[in-house]
Amino acid sequence: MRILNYNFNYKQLGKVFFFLFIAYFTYLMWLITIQYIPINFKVAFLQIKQNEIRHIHYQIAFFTHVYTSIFVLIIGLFQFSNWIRTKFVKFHRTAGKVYIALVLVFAGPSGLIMGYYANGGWFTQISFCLLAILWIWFTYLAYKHIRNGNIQKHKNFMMRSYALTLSAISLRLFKWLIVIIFKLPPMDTYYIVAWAGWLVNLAIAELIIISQLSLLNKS
Amino acid sequence: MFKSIFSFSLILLFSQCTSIKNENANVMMDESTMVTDGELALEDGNKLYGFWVGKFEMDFQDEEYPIYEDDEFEYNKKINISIDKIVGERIEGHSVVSGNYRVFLGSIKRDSGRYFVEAREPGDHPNDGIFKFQMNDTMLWGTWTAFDKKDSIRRKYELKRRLFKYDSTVALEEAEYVDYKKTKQEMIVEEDDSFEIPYYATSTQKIYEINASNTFLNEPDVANLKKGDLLIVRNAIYARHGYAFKNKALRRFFDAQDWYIPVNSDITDELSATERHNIELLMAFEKNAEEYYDHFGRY
Repeated sequence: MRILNYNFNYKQLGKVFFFLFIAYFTYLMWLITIQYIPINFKVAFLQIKQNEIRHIHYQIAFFTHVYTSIFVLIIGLFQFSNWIRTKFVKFHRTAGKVYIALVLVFAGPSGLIMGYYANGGWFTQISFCLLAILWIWFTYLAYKHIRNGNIQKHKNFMMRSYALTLSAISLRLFKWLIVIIFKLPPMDTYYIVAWAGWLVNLAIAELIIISQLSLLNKS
Repeated sequence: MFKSIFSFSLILLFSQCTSIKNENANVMMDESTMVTDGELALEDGNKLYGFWVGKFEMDFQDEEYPIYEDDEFEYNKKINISIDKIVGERIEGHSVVSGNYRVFLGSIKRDSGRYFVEAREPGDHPNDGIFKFQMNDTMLWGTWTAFDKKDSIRRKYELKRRLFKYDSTVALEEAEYVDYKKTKQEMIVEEDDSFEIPYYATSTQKIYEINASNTFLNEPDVANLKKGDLLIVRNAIYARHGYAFKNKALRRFFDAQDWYIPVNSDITDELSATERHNIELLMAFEKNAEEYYDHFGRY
């Protein structure tokens, strides 16, 4: 396919669409984030978390999570581009270090605390805590593998890590789809998306990893 | 080919997801600020004093035909006529209907075991009129005619005497709360004034399981309720206190409840601590439901 005098194949075109898709929803996540600026305990999600937001540790966890996760999402957008990775190696490394530090030190642990206080009881609490633990774990492994020079494993774990990062988007997108299509009550919807929001992403990441592995084996 | 159709429809679908929250969200509050001195205290011994409650029905003359717009169906409002004071041939009282609290003043005459009353509303409200009714110990029946001749609205009623006592345990009876016009915001033109009210799709069976007057509600109790349910559960608190609803959809729902008597247009002072807590909680969830239920945002 020829667009603007440049030859695209379908795979590249798909990548561009995927990028634009994620970029658009990252922008919506940005809009969600700036609702919490300046710090306000009575807006958006917090208006139904009044019991939890009283605790100082929840306040710290919540605002740490909100203010750092958005940058994890944004950085992740650029890390999977072959073009950036080969032409701007330094950018890829620096951005990657920031991504890893944000997840391991700020967004991950704060997500774990929030997961413990998740709405909906143990069923959703387990999901969100597991999500946070796996997020930290995959990100740490990706870091460990690149330190050891194992690029393929680094790539695989970064894909898993970013898949979990994107659960912020997919969870909300699934919720929106379920509500407009099935009109389920809010908590029933939440039970579904609490798990589907990241399990679907992780499954897609595994499929990509497996397909790439079989390509490698063939060549 | 199929691929591009699929991706095109995906793009089309997601192009609908353009905002993270509903910016026009607002929680419907049906609490009017108007307070009229009630003189609700009944004098001992007078069997005519108190609330007389029933349907306030349209009374059409032969030459008139009711005109209902679209799916608007006939809805008989509930009226509460209160006899507050009788001195000699002078009678004082008030009526509560359609969320309006109007006093009246007139004369009462006794004849062969019945009382004949003719009483006028002050006339400073566009919907004021004249009551003409008869009553005995058990019934009150008659008509009401608007002062405004060009409307020539006439209503009739047969009312029974009712005692009003706040009961926090009273449960909702099955009634219809449905959005007949599926628009979300709608300009409603009432006889006396017009205002915008939000319509909600409908409520579900869950509203009959929750009593927000005698149960201290926590977040898990209300987290799975849709906005229509939250609205009814919260407004049932006001209804138990005899709040006279101005909102038509709410009024239609609560007028259908046997126990409900419209008594006053401001009941905020009478709410219990539990009720105040629940109202705050329910309103937070209503606001959240309005803003985020069918939008990308929230969690």
